[in-house]
Amino acid sequence: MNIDDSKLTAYALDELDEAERAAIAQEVAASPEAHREIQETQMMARLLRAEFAAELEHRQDVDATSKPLSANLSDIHDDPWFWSIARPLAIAAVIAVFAVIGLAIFGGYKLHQNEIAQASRHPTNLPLAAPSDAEAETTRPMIALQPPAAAQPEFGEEVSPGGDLRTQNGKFDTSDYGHFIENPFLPALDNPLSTFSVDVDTASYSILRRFINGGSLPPKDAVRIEEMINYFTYDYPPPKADEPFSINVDIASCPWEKTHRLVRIGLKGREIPDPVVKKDVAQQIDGTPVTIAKDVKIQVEFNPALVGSYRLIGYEKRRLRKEDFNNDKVDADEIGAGHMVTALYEVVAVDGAASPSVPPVDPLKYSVPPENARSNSSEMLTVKLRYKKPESDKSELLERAVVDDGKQFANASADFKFAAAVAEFGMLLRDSEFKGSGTMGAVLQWAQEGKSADTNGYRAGFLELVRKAEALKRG
Amino acid sequence: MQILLRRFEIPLLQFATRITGDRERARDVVQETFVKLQNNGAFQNPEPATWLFTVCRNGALNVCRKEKRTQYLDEELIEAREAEQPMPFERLEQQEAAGFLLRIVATLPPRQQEVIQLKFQNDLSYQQIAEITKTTANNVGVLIHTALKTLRQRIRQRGKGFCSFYPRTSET
Repeated sequence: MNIDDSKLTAYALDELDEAERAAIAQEVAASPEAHREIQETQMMARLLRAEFAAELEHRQDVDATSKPLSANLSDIHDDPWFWSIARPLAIAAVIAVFAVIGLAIFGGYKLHQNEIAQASRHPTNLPLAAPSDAEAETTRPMIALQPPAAAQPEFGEEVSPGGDLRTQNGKFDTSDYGHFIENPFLPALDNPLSTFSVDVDTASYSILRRFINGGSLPPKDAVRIEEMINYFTYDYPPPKADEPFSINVDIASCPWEKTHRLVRIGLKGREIPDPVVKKDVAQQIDGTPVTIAKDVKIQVEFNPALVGSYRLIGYEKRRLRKEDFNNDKVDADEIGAGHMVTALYEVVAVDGAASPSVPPVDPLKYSVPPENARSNSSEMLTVKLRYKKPESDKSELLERAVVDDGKQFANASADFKFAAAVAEFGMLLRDSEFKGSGTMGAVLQWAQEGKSADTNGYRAGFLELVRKAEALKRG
Repeated sequence: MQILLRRFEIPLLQFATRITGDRERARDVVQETFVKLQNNGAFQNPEPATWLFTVCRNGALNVCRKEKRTQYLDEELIEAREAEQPMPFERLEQQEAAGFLLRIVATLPPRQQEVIQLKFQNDLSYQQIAEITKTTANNVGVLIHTALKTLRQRIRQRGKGFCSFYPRTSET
């Protein structure tokens, strides 16, 4: 029978009436091809349902942090286990199936159904079984989503998302989550300005949580550290009456690289009184608060007299050119009422001992820094914030200069410790070259010390997730 | 009413955003839809989903029509809008931070995206989807069939980077 028939799809989705169904069923019985087509369609349908439900769950996560009203969407998905555990397995299964077919078609050789079935009994030889629908839901996947232990990459080498995922022609396939290279350490003398757009997205955390709960480590490029850090709320004071944000900076020693300093920059948007927010019903449910500022950009200026080099942790996809900061035509993200944005910098003092991950720079032979290149200021950095009021096209500037008081990590605030734990967790999941001496055990300890009140239980959830990831890493 | 609101608010918002390409306008449309639901007593309708999506779709299309007219008068505005606003589905993708499969869904033609959302997010039948999108059940079937086929092809292409076993099997 013709397998490219919309009737077959309708049959797979149970959309046919009695007579049509009977007719198709007869044809299907005689055609293994049609049978497989139906299985694939049904698997695709199941995946789509799971993805849509997961997306709603994500919306719920986002909403729960800002609006209690919408925290009760759970009646939409009646079986949370399926979405949290079976979904990654189902994805693995579908990709396995499609990979087999892809190989059969593009690889120039054909895998017969019985060969596939045989392969499923020998997962070590060819972990490419096409699990039946039932298996996809009930068994652990034979295919691990995490990469095999990859050879240590040379410094500076691009690492593909799956660790060692070269295709036959030697190219990397990096399409799924958008490949990115982590921000390197930059010498403050040459690059005193670090500019990025705020990011209040938190999807990466939900994605990696689903992977880990489903029994596999997430692909590296799915791990966006800024989104993980911003999933959690921090106890920043509200802004002054005439300003839309408070800028909060604290500095302590870096727990995974003791000779470095860790700088946390936190913005908190002004809260809007309830009656204003509740102006429309859809907005309440949607949970998107009123925008209090748009095109919010952050520029940090480091003082090269004190800072040798620095590294922005995460925000790889949000970096702006330094010229963009003052260019009102370059748009950026908006900040809603009560929203928070947190960013971490790892900083090496000008005469400080740098870790091996900080590349040494030879002194320049011909260029001599001008006299005033190093100021006498005791400030380590200045945070500059550009934003537009929601109704304005002209930006305004807020500034805050910061002195490092030499605090040790042990004496840092609970929020500081927790944010550091989340960042290091992300670097460990990415197997980042910047992960330093941190371990999952250390992350657990810092997060435990930083757990504080945790009224909504999010931080306890993080601790649980780290424990699971640690177990998965051990294998 | 509260139950319907909880159940359909976000799906409707996503649905309307896909059409208007703008979250704010979508929000207005959805709010209007629920106001109509309350006024018309339509919540006693045995098929509230079909009713809600139909009214929401009409509202969103109306907004688009009106927008087009005003934009037509102001060429500068069109240019500014086109420069700063991605295609509706791209915008949706950014805002919803969808998983990888939904990102592939977002590359489908708008009509196919629409029926896929109605079918697999909201579990509507071909017949219901046909009523909402003002077409025949047969045509819905063709759209869904084509969409699923394309999705499978694109997963096959893009899924490679996702699974560590791919290089190993190419050697066998």
